[in-house]
Amino acid sequence: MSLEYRQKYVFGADYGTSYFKFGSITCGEEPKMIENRGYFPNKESIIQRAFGITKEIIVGDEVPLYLQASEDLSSRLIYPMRNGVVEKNDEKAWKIVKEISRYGLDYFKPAEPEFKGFYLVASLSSIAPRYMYEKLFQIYDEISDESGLIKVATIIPQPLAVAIAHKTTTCVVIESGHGNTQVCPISRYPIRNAIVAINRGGGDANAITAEILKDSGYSDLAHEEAFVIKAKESLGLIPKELERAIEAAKKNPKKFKARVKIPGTRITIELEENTWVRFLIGEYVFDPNHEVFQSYFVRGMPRPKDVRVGDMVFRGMLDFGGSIVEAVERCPIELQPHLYREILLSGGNFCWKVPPESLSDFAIDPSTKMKLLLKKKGITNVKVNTTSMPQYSVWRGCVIYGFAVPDDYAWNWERMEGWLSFE
Amino acid sequence: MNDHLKERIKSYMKSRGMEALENFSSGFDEKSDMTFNDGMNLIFMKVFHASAFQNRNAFLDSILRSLSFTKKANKVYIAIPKVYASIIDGKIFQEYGLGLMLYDERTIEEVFQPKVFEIQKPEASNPIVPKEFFEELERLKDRVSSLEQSVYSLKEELSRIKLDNKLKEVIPNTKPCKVEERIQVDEDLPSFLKDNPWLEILSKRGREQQSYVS
Repeated sequence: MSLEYRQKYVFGADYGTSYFKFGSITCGEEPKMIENRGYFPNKESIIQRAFGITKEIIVGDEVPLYLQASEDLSSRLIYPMRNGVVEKNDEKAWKIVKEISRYGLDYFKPAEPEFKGFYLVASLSSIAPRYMYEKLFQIYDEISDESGLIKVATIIPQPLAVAIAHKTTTCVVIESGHGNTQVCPISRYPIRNAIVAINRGGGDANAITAEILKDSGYSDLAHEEAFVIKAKESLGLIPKELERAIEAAKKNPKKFKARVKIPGTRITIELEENTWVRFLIGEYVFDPNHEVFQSYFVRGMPRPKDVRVGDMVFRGMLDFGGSIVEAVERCPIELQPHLYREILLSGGNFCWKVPPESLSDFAIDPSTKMKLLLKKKGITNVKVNTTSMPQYSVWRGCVIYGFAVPDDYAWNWERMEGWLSFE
Repeated sequence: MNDHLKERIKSYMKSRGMEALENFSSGFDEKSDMTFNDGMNLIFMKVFHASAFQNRNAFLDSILRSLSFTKKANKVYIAIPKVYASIIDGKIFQEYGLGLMLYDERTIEEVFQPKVFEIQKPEASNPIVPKEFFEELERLKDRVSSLEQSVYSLKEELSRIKLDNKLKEVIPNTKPCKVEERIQVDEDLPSFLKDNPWLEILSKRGREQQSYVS
């Protein structure tokens, strides 16, 4: 098919744990976003029938319209993905994945008679097991049969898409989300054998924030995830050097003071004398090994554990600097310096507020922290950047991939790349 | 009832195979707002407007009176504005065999169908249909439903087999290398496509040896 066809009909689909981002090449700089969830309505309910619903699953912006205040949501409102993975035998979850895929494709369905289906590029977590690829291709086959909306499809790992969107052909992408973090070296292709996975993400930062809130007398708030997240975002600081930062804050707590007003309430969080704990939040994300965290583990805060998911072991306590070194050292030696020179931080767990100028001696941004962690490992001459527009990078990478890869590059299960045709 | 709504309802019912009967006398004290015929059944419809919901007792009274239509019509519909759907318990309607339709400015929808009541024969102009006809029709419906189920199962199985074959196939890239079409990015395309070294790299996928892969 000609380049002219692809200029109109490439379609990107980023299956994130929380959000599904999708759109054709013609939708501009930003994709459409819906929550990655589905609602199974009660077919006996008059309300469902009243709105003429015979659908088995509701997805997209319409979901809130169908939620009823009194119902038990846990069995009807389903989030199919956990840490980028859909359980193999979870039928409801896979039905939702199919429905959101169909929803996305339908949303951008062209009216032109020349349209013979999209060049669909989907993206999954780099740790997604093979069965997820198989299931997703099966879904696309079904959708293609039903509607003719897919001409060819492929699936690429999210770190590759991030690298493509950032115009960086040799780099290390660190994708850190709510549940886990993946370190993936890229050199024109993802170097799959070098991927390092860490069982630590934004959710762990929430956990330590909750402990801090409990210690500070805000036990009630500590149980409400939304409040904990708000506190984390407002209070959390990444220390340049933890012990020095704690000492300075203990000597002069007012300098590091922060107030967090919870919107819609009269509650205000203030840490008074214990402003030094703000640095624990940032440090814990990057390196949970400092002895100061032992007391939290002893008191019951879950210690991040090593877990095995399929063939991949997710390390619990590995610091981010160590994870980069481990990943890079699995790559050919001549490639390693090039990889260190471009490190990309991606994902919500790397989105931190810029620390105030008055604290710049003690609080830093994620890129600087990463450089310091690598320096401790003896790695200098590194360049670390946080991705701009982290929510859209993967989708953009998918669109670029679909635009450029030739038609005759067929899918191969060894290399896990290529087009699968549904004509 | 305003004429516009009446016309819309007539159109909708006609699309479902039901013709409106004008000036039909039910012989009842309670007047049905509209009457239809589908060739086999006489159908009454009581249409409620927003004003009917201002007085709850009057509304309930009207609903209960409408139940009496089941003695003179094969099917009875109640039509109400969609915004009031939440105050109606559909199960009660269904228990009494009433059908429910909802309408708003743009749409008319049948929420559930009424039961069919056997009554005295309708007006002489309507054809007489023997009871055996309906029994045979039900049997045919069951058979069609069973066939649909079988077709659906076969289709699913075929889909699985097709995909299995596709996924097992390893198509070697045996086509000769073409002269590469230089990737040109139109001005209309998004900015993230421009000045991207990946375009050149990706355009050569399958045409060069991979240096660094798993």
